[in-house]
Amino acid sequence: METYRGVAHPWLCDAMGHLNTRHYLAMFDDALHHYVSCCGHSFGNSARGFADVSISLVLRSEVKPGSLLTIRSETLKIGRTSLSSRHWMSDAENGEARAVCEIVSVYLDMVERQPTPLTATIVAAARSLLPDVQATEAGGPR
Amino acid sequence: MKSENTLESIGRVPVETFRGVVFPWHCDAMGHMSVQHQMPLMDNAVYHLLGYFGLTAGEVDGRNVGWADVSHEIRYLHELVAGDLLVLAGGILSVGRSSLRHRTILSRRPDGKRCTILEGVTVRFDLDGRKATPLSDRERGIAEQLMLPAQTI
Repeated sequence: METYRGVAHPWLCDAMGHLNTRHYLAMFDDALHHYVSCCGHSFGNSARGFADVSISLVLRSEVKPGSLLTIRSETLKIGRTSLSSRHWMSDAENGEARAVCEIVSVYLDMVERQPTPLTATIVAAARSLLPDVQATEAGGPR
Repeated sequence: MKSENTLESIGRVPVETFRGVVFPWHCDAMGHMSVQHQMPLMDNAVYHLLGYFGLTAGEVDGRNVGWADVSHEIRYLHELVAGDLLVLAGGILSVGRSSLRHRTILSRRPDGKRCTILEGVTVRFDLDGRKATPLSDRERGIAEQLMLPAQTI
């Protein structure tokens, strides 16, 4: 499922002439927001939220200024209070892989500031975003 | 003017590499500092750590080189909220043929609580060939000086 579409503007690039790492993370964080929204979480719900516990980012190839980028997201693992998700960044023009990000997020009780169990709605929606399920619904592998 | 980032100026490792403040506009709908605003601080800190090796991008040891990140592992241990004062410190964990594995610890003042830890792999980058290039012997010597002591790992 596509969760982000953007541009590697020159002002996001560093002295090496490529997209700076901090901006990858911002794009992946935005993608995560869209992913948890697709998992049924409403950002209007002030009692519950999500908090990231860990992020693993692998940069596969350089992103040059002006590149058009997309991110597709999928569920990796559904825990009692946590969701693990994987996000693939690709060049929108040629489909080449640019980076992969795995994020573990906990469902957060916004008052207690503690992890709280995922709701049945979120679990069901997150399950529909497992890679196998997405591929089946799309009529085959992506 | 004498550069501050010299081998002689390396004191106790981890070395302080950045300071910052959490502002309200760094916080997301969860009421805490967003990961996407923590990343620039840590990236800045890594730049300052790599600053001990010489120019960020340009002629170093007879080569036109810079740095390129290969991977990041980040652990978020504790929430940060608006008004928190931050100190970042880092050092080197291991040295490869062309890569450095480094750690940056983002702590909160004044209690020193470790809130976020970044471990990254960064390669010396040939800016003409657009590929990794071996670290020089001089750079290996600096990396040795910046090695994190076992008790901080």
